[in-house]
Amino acid sequence: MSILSGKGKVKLNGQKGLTKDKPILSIEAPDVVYIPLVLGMATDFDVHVKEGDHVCIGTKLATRKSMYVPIYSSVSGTVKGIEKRMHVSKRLQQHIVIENDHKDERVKAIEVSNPDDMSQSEVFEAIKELGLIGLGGSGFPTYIKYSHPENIDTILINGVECEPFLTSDHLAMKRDIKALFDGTQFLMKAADAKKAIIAIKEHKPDLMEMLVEEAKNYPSIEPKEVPDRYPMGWERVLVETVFKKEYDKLPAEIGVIVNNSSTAIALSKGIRNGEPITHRVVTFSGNGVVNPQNVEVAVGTPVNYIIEKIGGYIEDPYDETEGFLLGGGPMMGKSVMNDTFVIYPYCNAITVLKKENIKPLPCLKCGECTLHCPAHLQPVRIMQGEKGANVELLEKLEVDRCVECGMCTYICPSKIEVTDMVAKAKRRVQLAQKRKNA
Amino acid sequence: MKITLQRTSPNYRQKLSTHRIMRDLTIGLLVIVAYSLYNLYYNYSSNEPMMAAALIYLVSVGVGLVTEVVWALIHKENIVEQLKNSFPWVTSIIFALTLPIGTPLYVVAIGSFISIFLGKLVFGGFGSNIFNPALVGRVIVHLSFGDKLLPYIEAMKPITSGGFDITTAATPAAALAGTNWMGGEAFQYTLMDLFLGNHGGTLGETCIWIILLVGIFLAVRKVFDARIPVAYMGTVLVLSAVYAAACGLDIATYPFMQLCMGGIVFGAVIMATDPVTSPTSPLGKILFGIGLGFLTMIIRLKANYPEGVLFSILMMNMLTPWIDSLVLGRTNQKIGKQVLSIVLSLVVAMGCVFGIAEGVKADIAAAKAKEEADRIKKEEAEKKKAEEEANSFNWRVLEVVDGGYIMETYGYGGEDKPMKIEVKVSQDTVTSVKVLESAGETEYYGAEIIKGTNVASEKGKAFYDKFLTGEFKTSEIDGVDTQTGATLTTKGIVNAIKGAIVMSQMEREVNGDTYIYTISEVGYTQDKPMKIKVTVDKASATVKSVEILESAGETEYYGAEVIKGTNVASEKGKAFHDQFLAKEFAFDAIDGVDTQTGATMTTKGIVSAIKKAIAATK
Repeated sequence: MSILSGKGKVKLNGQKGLTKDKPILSIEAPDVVYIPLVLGMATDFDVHVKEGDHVCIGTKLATRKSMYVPIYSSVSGTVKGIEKRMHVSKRLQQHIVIENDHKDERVKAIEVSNPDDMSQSEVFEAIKELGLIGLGGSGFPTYIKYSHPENIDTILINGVECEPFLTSDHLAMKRDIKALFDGTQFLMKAADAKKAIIAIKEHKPDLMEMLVEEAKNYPSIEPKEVPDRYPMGWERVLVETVFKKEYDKLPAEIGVIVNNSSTAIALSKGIRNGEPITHRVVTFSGNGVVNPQNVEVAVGTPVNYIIEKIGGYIEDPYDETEGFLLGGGPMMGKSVMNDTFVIYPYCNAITVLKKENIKPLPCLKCGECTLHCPAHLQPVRIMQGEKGANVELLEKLEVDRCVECGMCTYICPSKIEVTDMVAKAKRRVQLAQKRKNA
Repeated sequence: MKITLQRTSPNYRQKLSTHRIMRDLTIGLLVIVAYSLYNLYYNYSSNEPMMAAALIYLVSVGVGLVTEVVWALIHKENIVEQLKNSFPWVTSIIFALTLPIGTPLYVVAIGSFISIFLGKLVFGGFGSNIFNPALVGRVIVHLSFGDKLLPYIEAMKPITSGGFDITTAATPAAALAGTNWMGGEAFQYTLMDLFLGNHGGTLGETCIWIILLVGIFLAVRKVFDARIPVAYMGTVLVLSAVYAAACGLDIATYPFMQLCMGGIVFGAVIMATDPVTSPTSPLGKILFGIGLGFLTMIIRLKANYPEGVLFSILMMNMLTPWIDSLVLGRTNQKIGKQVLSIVLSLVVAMGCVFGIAEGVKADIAAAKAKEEADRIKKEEAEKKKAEEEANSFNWRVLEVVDGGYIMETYGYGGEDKPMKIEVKVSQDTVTSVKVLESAGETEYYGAEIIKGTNVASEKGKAFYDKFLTGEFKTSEIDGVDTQTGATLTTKGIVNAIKGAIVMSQMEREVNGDTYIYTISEVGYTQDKPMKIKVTVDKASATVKSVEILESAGETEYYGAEVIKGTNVASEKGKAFHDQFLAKEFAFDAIDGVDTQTGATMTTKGIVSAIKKAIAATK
């Protein structure tokens, strides 16, 4: 009942029109690429190459230790070494430096002899060996989701892309629609699921038409439209909207596994062609770039290289405009202090926004944040608890369920940085719990 | 473009801002203000009410702004910033809208200052106040200057030229309160009257439909959450329906009449919805609205205070932090528990209102019963008095003896066997009472009383001891309890004694069959009795003449006219004079005469004297 729980969603101005109808610009890899040895928060990698080694597109460079995730080279050339460089995580991280010989020699990451006749465990192994990660921005190793599938009957393909400005998934789906369905089928195989649903936002008639047409060849895959709301792309909101059922921690509790559409496409390409994740479609948008559009680039390409190639930042002749560079969309993307960081495998957008002077007013306790939080938390109370350093209150408010989607700050009429306060509260509670358990 | 670091995310904001919210709220308030001015202009021939109202608004907003400016100066803050971010005009306009039209301007100024200063600034400014600031000012002004908050303009005292003067009639809420909230003939407003607002009240609260329209506009523009006014007004409707059902009123219209009176709609839409002073969670807002409805109805019905809205909003403001602290966790969990809390609070509220309704009904029934009992008592007392009066002439004088009389009265034996009692009276003392003949009084009853034996009842023995053995004052025989178990006997003895006393108070001259009495009888004035001379002819049983010798205590235009028989007396008075004071009449003509002549006491006195004379002659 949204009378008691609030809407939990909002219709926001997506501004997708900036990039939706422009073709994907393929940008050649630069002379030097830097492959980050980072996956989310993990930096523990076994590096398999050393300085001087010759590599091709698809050569395995390193493997993550804690969860098996191999990473591959996106260019062919020579390994120059490892160097520390600014990473999107706002820290200096290790990167493998590769000098590009521009020959684009390829090597297969995996070899599958019988793609149309694979067993469940074979698909699983393929997923693992390809180093498939959540390409919707999470970077979570996909094989973990499929390691012990029990009673999974539906694969939900998340093509919603609810972040404003983003259109990379949309254009990738249109371009590689066959691979999308193909990959979905593999995922169904991996989970032994009976059917799959491909979910996209409504009001995309061009994509929907193509999906419906292609679905004729795949009777167990159904395209479905969901309302155009933020954050419809969040797993929890999407599953509850499509299946009308709630779950506590994982959608597997109700027999569903969710994967991003680009992940499905990458799986298909990986199994059919042996391609690991070496290139990806990235949306460069925002009011800070001259020509917002989608580009296809090699993993490891520095952002400033791409920005130059697409026309650069906007410049005001009279004033030095300040702007932010966000890794991701404007809602959940984090600002990086300069544009030297590289495109990482699970990067789907770079948003450049002009700085706005926003002066916050006192909180008027209107409760809009509570009404719109997709996790149905109470951000205003969490803010009060954080200001009073009241860990007990914060625990009662279940602050650990926050995913920092940014809805509370977006909706606050007083322009208060609510999400920031909630994030701080989360850290406070985590710290307190660590201390308690220590 | 220079790339800089922005530590926080997200970097996207919606268009709705607090400034826009307050701007839309100001527009809504100005619509109500404009309507109030237009209404005053339209309903009056002179411009004075409209100007008075306009002055109230101006003074309120002006003082509010000055207060904020002074505060900003003292705290060395930018004045424009302070005003822009503190929105004092909103509080001032709301405060002005809660005032009646006759409020003196200095009261408006003081109230506006208190609203801004005590209601908001001392708490820490916008967003930190606990109570609705306009209400803080309103309540303090109400308690300190209550009698100055007049519903009419002093200089424009009531115009008694027909028509319905909206500023001077009691507000509908007060009118309904007078009927225990039950309506009836005393309450003349129809539902349409209330809806359109053609009645007195505070400046802003009367026109229901304008307020509702403004409310819808503001809810759509997301100025406030619609849950609060809907819950408030819905609860009022539900509780009013319960009251109507319990008291037998029309359930279809009564709840809406309650809703449209006393500023509930204004309070629900403008004052209760202030986000700063209401809970943040959806469940909290609904409970807040229910609590408001409950408190308003309780204050109205039980404390019989028509304007319960102010106090209920302030009380719920107080409870807001507590409600917030109760609603924890996620808002979509424990839906069952949330719904249960709503239903439970409604049920408790309905139960309380039902109890109050029953109490009011019981009160009304008790008052009616008491009225009935009083009336019966009065009737009985009057009956008793009439009886006593009739009885006071149930005696005959047989003989005049030394110091007293031998009286003949009827006891148990009735007319066949009357009692003969010798009663001796001296001044104000009855010196002796002797029953000479009492053949008609039966043994074990009246006879025992007369003899004073122990066979008589207790009361009878007491009667004997008091009245038949020794002396007693003449005043002591009045109102004596004759219920001795031998009532007729006792009554007879009492009549004899009373008769003897009356005889002793008269002067009597006997000339053959003509008896002339001079009687002193109290008329209109207790300490100035009339002196009446009555001449009676025993043989023809007629009263020959009645002369009023002294009548100083009878007033002009009243008793004196009856006595003189002038035309100034009432018709009945003149008739009385003509029949009894101007000519002779038979003994029985005086029986059952109507003494309601417009000078009743005088007439009763004269009649009493005539009756005494007749009785003494028989």
